[in-house]
Parts: sequence; C-alpha cells; structure tokens
Amino acid sequence: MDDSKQGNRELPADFAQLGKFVNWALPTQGERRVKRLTSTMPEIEEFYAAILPEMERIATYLDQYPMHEMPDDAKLLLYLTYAFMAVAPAVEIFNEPSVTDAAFDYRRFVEVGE
Amino acid sequence: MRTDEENRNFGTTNYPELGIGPISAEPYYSAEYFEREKSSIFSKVWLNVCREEELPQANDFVTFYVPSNKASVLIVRGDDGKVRAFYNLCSHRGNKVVWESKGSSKAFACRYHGWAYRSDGTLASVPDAGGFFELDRGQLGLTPIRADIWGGFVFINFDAAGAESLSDYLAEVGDQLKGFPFAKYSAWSRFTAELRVNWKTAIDAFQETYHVRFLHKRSLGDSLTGPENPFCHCGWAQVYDRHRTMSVYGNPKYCPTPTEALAYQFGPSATKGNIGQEQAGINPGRLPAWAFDAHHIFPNCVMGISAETYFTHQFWPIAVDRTAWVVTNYHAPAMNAGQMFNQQYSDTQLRDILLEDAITLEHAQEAIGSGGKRSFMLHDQELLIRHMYNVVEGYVRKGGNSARPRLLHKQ
Repeated sequence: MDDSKQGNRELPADFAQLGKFVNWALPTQGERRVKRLTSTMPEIEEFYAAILPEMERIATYLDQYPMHEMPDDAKLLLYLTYAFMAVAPAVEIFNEPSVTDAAFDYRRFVEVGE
Repeated sequence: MRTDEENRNFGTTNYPELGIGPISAEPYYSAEYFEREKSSIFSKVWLNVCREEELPQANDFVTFYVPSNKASVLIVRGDDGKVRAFYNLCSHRGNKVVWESKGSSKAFACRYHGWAYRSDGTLASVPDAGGFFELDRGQLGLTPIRADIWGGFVFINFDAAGAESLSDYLAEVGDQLKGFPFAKYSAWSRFTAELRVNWKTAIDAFQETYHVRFLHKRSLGDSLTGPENPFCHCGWAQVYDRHRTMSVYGNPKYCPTPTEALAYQFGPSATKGNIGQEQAGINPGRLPAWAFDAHHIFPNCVMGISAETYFTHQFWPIAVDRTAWVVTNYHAPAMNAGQMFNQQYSDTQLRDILLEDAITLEHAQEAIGSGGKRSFMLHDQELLIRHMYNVVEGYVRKGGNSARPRLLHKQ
C-alpha cells in the first residue's frame, strides 16, 4: 500500500481547486477501476470535465520531479490523472461506467503485482 | 466494388493441406478431446511462462500453477545466474515447498518438516536426518522441469525426455521476432481472469480481426477499419510449422478521442496507424499503415507487438470449458508523467477491449457446449484459426505435429 493513501491528502496548491476530487486519487489500477464501476455517470462526467482541461498544466507541473521522487502532494495529483485515464473511455466511448452489455463482471479481471 | 476473389485473397488456398471446408466443433466442447490435448500438447511442448526480468537477481524466484499439468512450478535464478524450473514439490512427502508467488531467497525450507533446498534445486538439509533409511541426498533435490530462455521469455517443457530445443521449436516465429527489443519494455501491467471457455475458443478470438467491426465497434471505433477496409481485413499473414503471425492495418485517418489524443502525444499506441515502420522485428509485410503484429506461439501464447510497446496473452486450460487467462501490457519505464498518462490509457483501453471479448467468449462457449452444431465455418480471413485447428488435430490424433505448412504467403 502506498503511504500517500494514508498520509497527506492535499493536492499541490496550484491545483487546490481540484481538491473535491481527491477521493479519485487511488494508487492501484484495480482500485481505480472499482471506483469507475461504482460511480454514477454524473459523478464520472463531473470528474472528467474538471480534469481534462487541466491535463497539460498538470503534466508540466509534474515534470519538475523525477518519477520516483515525487512529494506526496504531487503523487496524489499523479494518481488523480491515472484515475482520469481510467474513466475517460466511460465518457468518450461507452456512455456508461463499464463497457456496454457488461454481463461479465469487470472485477473478475484481477490485477497482479500492484 | 471488390470481387469475391479479391475478398478471399488472404491465402487459405495457398495451404491446400489445411483444407477449405468447415472444421469440427468437437475440439471446443469434448471433454475426451480435452484430455488428449493435455497429454499430447501441454505435456509435450514448450510453454511461455514469464519474462526473465521478473527474476533479475540471483535467488529471485516466481511460482505459479499450471492447471493442465496440475503442477505448481518454481522458477528460480541460481547463484550462477542460470534460470531453472522445478516442480514446487518436496521430496519428502510432497508438500508445496514455496508458498509465495514471488520473492528472493538463497534457500527454500519446506514448512511441513523443514527439508531445505538451495536455489539450484539441490537438497541442502534434512532435519533429524539420522532417522531416515538410505537417504541419498544427491537424488533428493527438487525435480527439474526443462527450462530455457528466448528473447528474455522463460519457457518450460514438462516432457523430461523431449529433445527439441526451444530455438528449434520457435523456428520461423523466432526469426520473425528477432531484433525486437523486448527487454526495453520492462514496466508491465498484468491481470488474470478465469473464463468459462475452452482455451481454443479464447485464443481464436485473437487469431482474426473479422470480429473487430462488430464486437469492438465501441472500444475500437474505426481505428482499425475505415472506408478502404470496412471488414477489418488483416494486412499480412504467414503460418509456420506450428506457429503463425498476422499484421493488422491501422486507419491513419482515425480521429482519436480527446483523451486518446492526449495519451498519444506522450507515447506509443497499439491501435494507431503507424506510418513507415522499419524497426527490426515488426511489420514483416511492411504495411504502409500498420497497427500491430500478433504472433501466435503454439499452443497458448499470443504476443501483440506494436511500435514501442507490446502485450502478451497466455491461455491456461483448466477444464474443457474453463481457462485461466493472463494478460500483460509491457511499456518502457516512464521517464515523466506524460509517459505515464500514455501507459495508463493504454492499460485502460486494453482492458475495455478485452472485456468486450470476455463477455462474448463466455456466451459463445455456453452455446457451443450444447453440441447443437457439429461444425463451424471459417472465412478466408480466419486462416490462422484453420491452421491452429490442424496443428492441434495433428498432436491429438497423430501424437505430433503433422500440419507442417511450409508455403510462404505474402500480400
């Protein structure tokens, strides 16, 4: 388990306006996918709409740190962008949290080594 | 308007030994056939199990279960740097020696009675040894399984008496992949799923692109199709002795979604039409707009190779209608956040696409299991499925590979 999950839950000051979405900042793909599946489309759409226009600015901000030496607040911001990458297809392609006709429970895809 | 002949130019008729008729449905639902596949294929041929990078240092190990052979397998790198495979099975009374799925250890002590083995498999110590009769320590190491490495992939072979080397086994598909820098893509993302399907029902979905326009109309949109290629015909294919390769066109006019476009600006894509790819080990047909190659390494491994990224599938038979599926997406280690965006999107996209497959394959197996159809139809574009059907038949019916197509095909 990544320590940033228990520790500091504040985003960098430059991105304080995204603070209401901090519960999306989850460290593993498995957790992010469960979040996508258990959220409503209005929740996903609100998150998507808030993050998409900020992605370029976030990339520039995060570029100041080596990948494995990010302070907790930057790491939280990074996880927020990972969650964005995990949910964007729900908005842009499927118009529902899972893929269409999801008789197959997505949770049967078990992530390994996270 | 293309003529029927132009629509059937993929090459099935170049391989008369494979036939053009329907194939039997029996191998997809017969429990008896499945038992013969286990003994004639999964107990005889080389099987791709993991990457060498998963055990980089001396004494690093991984363990996993191979259901077709009911075998827990230990792969471990010895002090001498050599990667070896063993049955994960104590010589005393058969306990599983290593319970962890990965780690690093100079020695492995059995939790049951404390017998200990070195990382080269030799027996290190036996508690209260004086009470045993005729304890021949030299004969009581872990039982080895043949193991070898090709291109950084660890393969095992349960046939202790087998003589064919791994490089001879891979043959032409090995030549085809030569030069692709697999080791460069050492950051991987993996998931497993147990599917209620026959292992060939599963693998067949990755041996044709006929289904892309229909099953993946949402997840893939027109990224691999388009006005010039409405039915997602493959661009190039070749079948070998046991293995096979196909190359998939990309649509260079595809308009990515906003997030896809963002992801692509930081890194590669397996579904983008890449123009003018000349790198070693990829795009053997030199397609002008190429998305990826799929190499089918008999019996149960698919390697999807794209520019600067690749993915693998392994399909492990459990029962005639149950398969353990392992999917791994490989990336170059990210140097910045943008590259991570790209990789996270790639991982999401792959899972969304495969979820569409998983649902459909379980429905297909449920229907196939009735035995209501005794044969299946194959399109010219489904040449690879026809080839694998023949290779499997060769092993099951004749105890060895007899498909042996040697003709080369280029479009």
